[in-house]
Amino acid sequence: MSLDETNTIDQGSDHEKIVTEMSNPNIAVNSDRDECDSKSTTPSFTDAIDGSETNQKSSTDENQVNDKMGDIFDDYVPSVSAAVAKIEDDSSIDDAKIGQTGVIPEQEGNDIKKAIVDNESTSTLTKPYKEPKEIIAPVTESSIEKQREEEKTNSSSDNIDFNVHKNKAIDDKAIDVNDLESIDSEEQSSIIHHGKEEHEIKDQLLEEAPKTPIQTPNSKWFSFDKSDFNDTIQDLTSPFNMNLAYYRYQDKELELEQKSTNDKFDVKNSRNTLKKTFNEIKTGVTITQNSELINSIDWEFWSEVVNDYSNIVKNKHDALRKNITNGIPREIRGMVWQIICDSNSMKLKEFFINTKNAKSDYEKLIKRDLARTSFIKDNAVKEKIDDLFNIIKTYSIYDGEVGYTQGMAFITVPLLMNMESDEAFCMLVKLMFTYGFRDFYLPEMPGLHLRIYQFDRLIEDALPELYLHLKKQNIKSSMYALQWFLTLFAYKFPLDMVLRIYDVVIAEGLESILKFALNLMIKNNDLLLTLNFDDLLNFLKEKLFYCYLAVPDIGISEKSENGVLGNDDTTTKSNVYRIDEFIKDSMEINILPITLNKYSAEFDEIDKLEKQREEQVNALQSKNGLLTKEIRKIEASYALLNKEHVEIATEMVNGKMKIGSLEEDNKVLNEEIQKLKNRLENLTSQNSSGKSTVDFSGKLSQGLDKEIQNAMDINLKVMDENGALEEQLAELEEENRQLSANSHKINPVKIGSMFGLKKSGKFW
Amino acid sequence: MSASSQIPVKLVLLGEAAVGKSSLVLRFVSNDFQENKEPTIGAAFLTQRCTIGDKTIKFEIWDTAGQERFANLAHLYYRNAQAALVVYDVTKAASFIKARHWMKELKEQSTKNIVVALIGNKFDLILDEETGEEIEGARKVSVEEGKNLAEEEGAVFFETSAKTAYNVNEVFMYIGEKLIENLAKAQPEDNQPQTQTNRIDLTAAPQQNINDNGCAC
Repeated sequence: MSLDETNTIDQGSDHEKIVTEMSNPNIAVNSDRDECDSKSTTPSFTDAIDGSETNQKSSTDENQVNDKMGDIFDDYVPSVSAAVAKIEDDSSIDDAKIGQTGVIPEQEGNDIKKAIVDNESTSTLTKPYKEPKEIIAPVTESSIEKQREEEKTNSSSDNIDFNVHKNKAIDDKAIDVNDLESIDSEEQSSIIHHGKEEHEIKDQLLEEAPKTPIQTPNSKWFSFDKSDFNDTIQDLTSPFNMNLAYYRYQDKELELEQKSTNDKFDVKNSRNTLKKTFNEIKTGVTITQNSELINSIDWEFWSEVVNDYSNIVKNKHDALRKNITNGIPREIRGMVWQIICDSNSMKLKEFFINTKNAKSDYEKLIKRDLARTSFIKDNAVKEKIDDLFNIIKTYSIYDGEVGYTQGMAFITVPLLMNMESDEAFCMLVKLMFTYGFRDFYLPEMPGLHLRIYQFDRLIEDALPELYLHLKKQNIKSSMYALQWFLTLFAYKFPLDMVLRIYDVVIAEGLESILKFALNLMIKNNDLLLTLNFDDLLNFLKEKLFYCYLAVPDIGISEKSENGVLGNDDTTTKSNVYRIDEFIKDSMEINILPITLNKYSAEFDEIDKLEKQREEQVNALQSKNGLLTKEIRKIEASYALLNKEHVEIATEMVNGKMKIGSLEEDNKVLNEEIQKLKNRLENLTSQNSSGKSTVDFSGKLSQGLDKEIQNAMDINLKVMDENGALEEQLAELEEENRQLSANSHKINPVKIGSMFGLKKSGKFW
Repeated sequence: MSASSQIPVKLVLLGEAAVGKSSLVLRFVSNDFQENKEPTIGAAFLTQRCTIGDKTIKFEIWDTAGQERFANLAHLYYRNAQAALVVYDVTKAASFIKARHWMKELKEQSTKNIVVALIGNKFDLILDEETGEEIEGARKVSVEEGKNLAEEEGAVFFETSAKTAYNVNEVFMYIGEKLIENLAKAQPEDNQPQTQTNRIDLTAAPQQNINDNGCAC
């Protein structure tokens, strides 16, 4: 489990040697991929190392491995020694090169498939090796290093939060909730490395802990006791992990185990009835001597399938695969299907018969959809449209949680075409519950997301170049592949093709849909790599299937839009596909249950983290909301304080201004005071030598007096003169009287003017 | 942004099953119409360019399946959508109720500033083919109801017919114009917050923060 443990194991030095040998190309490849893709450190190159380690070990132990196990091993790990040789040549990069060149011409196709198989099978061996691998795997991403540094610092605490960096990422981003997608990608990378870091930290803990031997469940892996090793190899290479059909069978058996005795009895009874019917038919055919029927069907094999499917699936899986690939004969298809999936049950049949006339909330919707589904345009289907409606409606009542989901018609029609309606109902229930279709149709559609994820991972591993190309072009598989899974390609392919796909799905489970999907991608890899977003989308949705058209040049030629539209009518397309080739090519792709389980585990973890992240985001959002409120509160009080502050400041400013003006006033007043003081001083000093003023006034009055004196003198003189003049006047008047009395004849005017002149002349 | 560059616009169609979402898209993208179009399974993705003024908008259209079940997928699609068409059938009152529900959900869940159009489709069904006048009783959702709902939720309202192409391009054009307008508005605003934060406008600060952090969904 831990680094020091791996160092102390017996073959520790060998182990390390391989690692160092491998690490250089590995780093190179890794960093190449890192440029484009943060997820890249997960994948097959590290797997290859581990696989090769295992293989080397196994090659040394090979002889001791018991024969049976060896058989299985050889079946599923076809090139053990080749793999070892590869490592010695450092040629594991070849695997990468195949992907990078992306050239898959026919003759190389097999190699590639083998490479895929190798990859798969080696990676199947890696599961228990995961821990050492993780440690050995060179990590080139500096960000991861940093994160690890962070975690190292945290590793001393007892409860280590492995999500520390993740939380950080969220902390950084959560505020901008619209940016969730970017978190997504970061998240994903962190998820992928999550396991790695976890172990790193565990190592840290182990180093720090006192050197007591810590027994981890897997520790025996590193002591390589032969028996343990063999057991585990056997376990890993068991058909359960290596064969989809077997896996499907086991799963079904396990489910049956858990049922009540009554149900078990019911199922077994129904199975026996079917067997009986089949055997009767078989005998009937032999009796009628219908050579065509006898020769066209491998009765031997199919009767074995019907009568002892467990033996076929356990011991004759190659024959099973071959026959399934060639298609179950039309005549017995329905029966074989029912036998393989053990669908029949009296209980369900009764339910169907009793319920088929009941009302369902979905009736209207079902009717409307059936009327507009072109898949049902086929005449044979049209005749059974009422049955189809009844089955779907009854199912909507039977499974209230799923009810009716658009798309169900697609998976029901093939059933109805091969069996009675009550049987078809049983089988629909079986497919839903045991095969996992139900997960496609449940409200959250968990199955759909899982398949999409598995599909993405398969592309990533098998066609890394295409994977990166699509990623760069921003094409998500949900943009084109959603319907493939939901309708088993019925959305695109004609009914007879879907029936063939059904053969495989019923034998190998829903997982086998991935084969068809992956096959289409492999076949179109070269073309897809040359296209950009718009063309890609168009191509993936319409033209991806054209490589299996009987007349292939219609679609792939440059007649883009018109060609597509002209060819789009699914009803006329029937039979123009080379069905056999498509099924055969797809079946050559070996997808192992263990690989898919690995992806499922990854998906679960991603899903779990996603949910956690969502919770965290929600928590952060509410926290954010609270904080925002608080901020608002604080800001409000801050604003209030600020207002007060402003008021105070204004007051202060006002005060200052007042002070300023007062100072100014003060200054002016002071100056005035000074002036006055000066004046006062002047005055006092003048006062002390005050005579000058008095003198001055004295002089002044003296002058006045003089003037007055003068004036009086003059006045006196004038008075005197006046008196003299009055005397003179009186004399003159006397004279005048005398004169007038003497002579009235003298002109008074002459005398008057004479006086006037005399007077004024004397006065001025 | 140069005038010649394409503006990618993520647009999502929402609405009850069989109201004509896919038909609207088909009309817009291919100028085609199919009676009894198949139900959309999951979601369909299409693109279409259109030129508005000197700008080219590239609509990346997520046509979601209408059935309730697929509604859970829909939120994956409208999460980052810049525009949404909420479609109902003018001859089906129930589809309008569903539209109301979608409008509410968009408001709560989607990006802010999302441009939403409420579309009453199948307008052709309420017109008499000969007279061109509305057939009495054919219409189950009145123009006022539609307008009111659109107004309440800050959306634009159109009645369309994918069959006759009535108003279909107009819807997308309107959305394109609106988005360009928003873009033009958004750009000068980009610089604003910085200057504002630098300057600390105290009286404005509380409101500012409501805008920045308030819509945390």
